[in-house]
Amino acid sequence: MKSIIRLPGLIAFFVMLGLMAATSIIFMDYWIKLVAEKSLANTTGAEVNIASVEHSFSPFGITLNNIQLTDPKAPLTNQFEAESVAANIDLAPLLLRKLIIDDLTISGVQLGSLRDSKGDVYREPSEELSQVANIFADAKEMLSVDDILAKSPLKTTKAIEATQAVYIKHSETLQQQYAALPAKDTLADYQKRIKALTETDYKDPIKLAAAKKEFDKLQQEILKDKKRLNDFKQSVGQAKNELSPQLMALKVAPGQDYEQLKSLVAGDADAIKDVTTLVFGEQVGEWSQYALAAFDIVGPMLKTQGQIEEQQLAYAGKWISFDDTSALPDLWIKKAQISLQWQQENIISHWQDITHQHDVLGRPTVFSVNSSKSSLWQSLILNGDLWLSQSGAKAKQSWALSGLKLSELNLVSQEKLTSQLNSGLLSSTGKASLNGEAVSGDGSIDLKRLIIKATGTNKMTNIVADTLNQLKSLTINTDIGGTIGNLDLSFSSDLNKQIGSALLSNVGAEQQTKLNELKQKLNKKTEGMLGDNNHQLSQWLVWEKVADGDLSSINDLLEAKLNNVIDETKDKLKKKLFDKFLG
Amino acid sequence: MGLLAKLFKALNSDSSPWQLALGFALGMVMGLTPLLGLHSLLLLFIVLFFRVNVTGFLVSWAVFSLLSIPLSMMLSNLGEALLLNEGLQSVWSVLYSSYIGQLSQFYHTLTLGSLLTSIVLFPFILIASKKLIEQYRQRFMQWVNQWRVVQFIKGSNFYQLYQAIGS
Repeated sequence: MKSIIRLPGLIAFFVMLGLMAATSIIFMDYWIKLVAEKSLANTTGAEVNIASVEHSFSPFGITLNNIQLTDPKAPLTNQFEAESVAANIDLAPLLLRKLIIDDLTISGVQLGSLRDSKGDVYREPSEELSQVANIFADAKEMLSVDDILAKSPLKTTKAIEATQAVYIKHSETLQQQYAALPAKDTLADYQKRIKALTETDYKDPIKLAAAKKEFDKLQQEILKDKKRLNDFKQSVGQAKNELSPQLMALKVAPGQDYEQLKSLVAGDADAIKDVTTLVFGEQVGEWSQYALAAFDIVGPMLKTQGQIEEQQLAYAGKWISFDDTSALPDLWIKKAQISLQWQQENIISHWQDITHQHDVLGRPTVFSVNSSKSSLWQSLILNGDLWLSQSGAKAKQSWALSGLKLSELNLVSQEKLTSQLNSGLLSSTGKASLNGEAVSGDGSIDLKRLIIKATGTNKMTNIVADTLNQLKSLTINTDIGGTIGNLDLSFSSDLNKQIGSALLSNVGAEQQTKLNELKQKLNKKTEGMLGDNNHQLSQWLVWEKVADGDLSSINDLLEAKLNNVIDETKDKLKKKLFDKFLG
Repeated sequence: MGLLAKLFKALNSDSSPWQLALGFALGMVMGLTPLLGLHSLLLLFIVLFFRVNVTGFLVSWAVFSLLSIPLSMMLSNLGEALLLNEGLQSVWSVLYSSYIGQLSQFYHTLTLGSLLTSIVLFPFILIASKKLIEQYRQRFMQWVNQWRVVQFIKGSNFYQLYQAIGS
């Protein structure tokens, strides 16, 4: 009988296993490269290039060399480039589908570097309007004062509307209440009746009792009228309190509107509307990209989760997840060091506990940059943490940069205006936070020792250029908003005001005429309203005075008493009784 | 052609019906379940290490691989129903946290559904195959050998070669 086992089969099995292992090892680097390029391209929506991949077995590690992620918005540049990404990976947790990286080093990171060739874009990014497009174009035909008044949100108009609203709100009520007040004849009639009741000599007790009843009834009527007068007074007081501040606002509104609109009459409204963003926006936006780079790293991690779940719904079964008791997140980078190259300096950031399952790990990802030894700045401190969970992401970061030397920065390069920052010192502080996908925060950028060279080609841009050339310092306030991957940055400073003033000091005769017209038309808008409403207020005040007088008369009437007459009659009756008894 | 010749050779040889039946049954498991997985490695080990008829295994694998295409959705649904069963959650959770559980890929609906189905079918296929092989050898072997197509196969170079290697 033949043996139930065959040794050659066993040898064949191990040979087959060996071949499979050898093939995996030989092609591992190539497969990792392919998989990494494909997954990163799926995330970014544009071509990803990895020059080479190396691996080691003890300790198990993978190194990706020269990684370039094409910027889908600008395919000739890289959104992200790194010289190398090296990771030491724990092998045992890999069997549990857990990627635990003990140490991750990303060196030579550059943002916005130029590519050798144009990268392919697989997913078109959403269109964003360029902030610097069409600025300082040829001057448009100057708007008429009426057009400016029609198109501008005026405080005067708002004040008129608010005043009218108060008037409408109270006018009808006050008129109704005033009409219901007791007339002068009524008050005189009350007085006459009270006098008759109190001054009559009542000999008959029955007549006295009837007079008492009538007196009480009269008092009730007077009390009702008193209540009407009090209510009216209260309403007048309330209306007065509401109308007075509106009238005050109405008086000052034309002046405020004039201050706001005079620069529009003097120059190109669109050009000076947000000159800080137009001149410094692009550069500050680039600086902010570095400051908020951490949020850019978080973004793909959040989006990749959704994509994986979608892929799992494909044909050939589904992968079901269970609560595992291993207490390890699916991805955990225990320690990472990212070296960002900026100009000739390296900014090294340290990261701990990078994962997308902080609830499992029980602590947040913490990152920091602390650099004080640099030829470009005095100090740079950046700290932050982030926590990603099923309910959303929460992160915060703050930064403080001081004494960053700026040189040879191109600010605006337009047909009508060119501007270059020759030198300057930048300091910045700020904070940003992430809640869900919404980013919010603020920061300030102090620019000092500025030397700007700006040139204009028309009257408008010459004034802007002159203002920029004279600028020695500037504080730009930044508001950070938007969502991850689509940050919305807005900038403000007093540069708009400075340029507005410069424009006003250079107005011509025609513009001066328009300014006068503007002032006149704004004042005219309120004249009628102020007259009408002042008259109305005066009317209310007269009514209040009348009501005061009537109230005083009514109070006097209410002081009158019939008790004295009753007491006198009682005394007389008592005396009569005593006289009869005593004889 | 070569595989068919080998099958005829095996059926007509003195190979034990159990060896052939095991080959068919194991080929059925291999064919119904997804190829990539720890179970495939285990099946290969059994087929190669034990004296299981490889030709029967290969033919059965091919046939059941074709059958698995229309059945895959049903098998996947079965796996999903089991994995989502409330009463089994604790078992799955423990298994999910273990190395063997992760290697087995039991949490893949098609893997679990097809593996359980093929394990349930295994004894039936095994016994039915053995009976059929025995019936074939007793009643049909001589008659089939007289078919022109069989004689053509037997006369082919392939068959002669296998015959020579096998003897």
